[in-house]
Formats: sequence, C-alpha cells, structure tokens
Amino acid sequence: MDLTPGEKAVLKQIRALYATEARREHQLKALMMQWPPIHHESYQRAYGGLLAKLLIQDVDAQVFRLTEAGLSAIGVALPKPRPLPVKA
Amino acid sequence: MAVRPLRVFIADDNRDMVMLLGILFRSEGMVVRSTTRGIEVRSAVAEFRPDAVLLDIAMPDRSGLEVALELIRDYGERCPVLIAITAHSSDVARRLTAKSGFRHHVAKPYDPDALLKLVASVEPHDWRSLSIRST
Repeated sequence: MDLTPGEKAVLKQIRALYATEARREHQLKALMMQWPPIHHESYQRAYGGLLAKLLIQDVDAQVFRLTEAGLSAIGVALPKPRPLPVKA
Repeated sequence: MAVRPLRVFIADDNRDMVMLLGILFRSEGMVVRSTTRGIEVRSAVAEFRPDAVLLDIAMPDRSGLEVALELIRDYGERCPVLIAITAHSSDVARRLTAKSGFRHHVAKPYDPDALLKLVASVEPHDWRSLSIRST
C-alpha cells in the first residue's frame, strides 16, 4: 500500500503506542501528543489519510482502533485462523 | 575520589530550547550535548554516553516516544535516565511516557530551577561493561 511520508510518520507513532500497550484501541490524545504544534495540521491530514486507507478506524472522538490492515502495516503478525476440522 | 560532571543529552526540535537548556546545565558544570533531530539521538547517545537524556516528545522526524523505545531496546535496564519534555500533562500522557521507559515526565512550561534540580539528582551512569544490543 502506498503511504505518504506523513502517513508513514503517524504509523510509526502508532507503532510506538502499540509497543507500550499491545492493544488495538488507543487514545487519540496519546497519538497527538507526539505531534509538534507547528506541524499539527500536517499530522492531522496524515491521520485522515490512514483513516481513508482503512488502517485505523475512529471508535469515538477520543479513541481510535487499529484495523487488521493497520496491525499488519505496523508489522504485527496476526495469528492465522485455525483450519476447521475436515469431516470424513 | 572526585565526582565527574554529569553528562546530559538534550533532544528538542526547538533550537532556542536546546540552547537555553544547554546554557542552564553548563552553568552548573554539566557536560552537555544536543540535537534538534530525533533520528540522531540513538547514535549520539551511544557515542556521548550521557547520564541523563532529555527528550522532547513532539519532534517532527521521530517522536520522543519512538526514541525512548529504541534506547530501552538498546540498553534495557541499563538505559541512562530518560526525561520526557512535553506540553501534555494529562494522566494519559504521564502513563504513556512511564510505559515508554521514561523515568520522569516534565510538562511545559516548566520551572528551569526545578528541571535543573531534577537533572542534578540523577546518579552518574555506569557505562563500563555495557554492550549495546544489536538490532
């Protein structure tokens, strides 16, 4: 998937959040505190790009959630579903 | 035995802040090195071997959280003392910096005297026999 430099930067910041707490949902506040105030709008746009590319989803105004594609993009390998037993 | 001067590394994309903190710490006899780029911190710390590392959380090229995680990965429990400098003082922010390996969280605007006191309280780091984990 093609990501802009800004989207890659925000994704790396999300990876840092995931490294501190390995869960899909994170506070937007925790992500935004990594954005320099003078570049806030650029990061906001990059965040919007990640939403549009379905790597993250808004849960509500304060929380976002990594999708499976998002987890994969930050290098988290999801466990493969176990194959269903084949009936004889 | 003479106590060696504290070695302090500062990373902040705001040049004025880096300069002011540098003047503040040098005035107390500390040895200071700094950068305005988060991406340079890891190699600079390996070379400079500081006792304390002050990291701005919101740096454009690499956030302070990312840098802290890299340093913790490199040095583990033997990491020099990490001090987060951030405009955010919420519980979320404090919890996050603590989980990222920061020993202290300093919210802007901060009192320079209090920051100086905090840094001066850092124990000299023992860099002998410390090898960096390869990644």
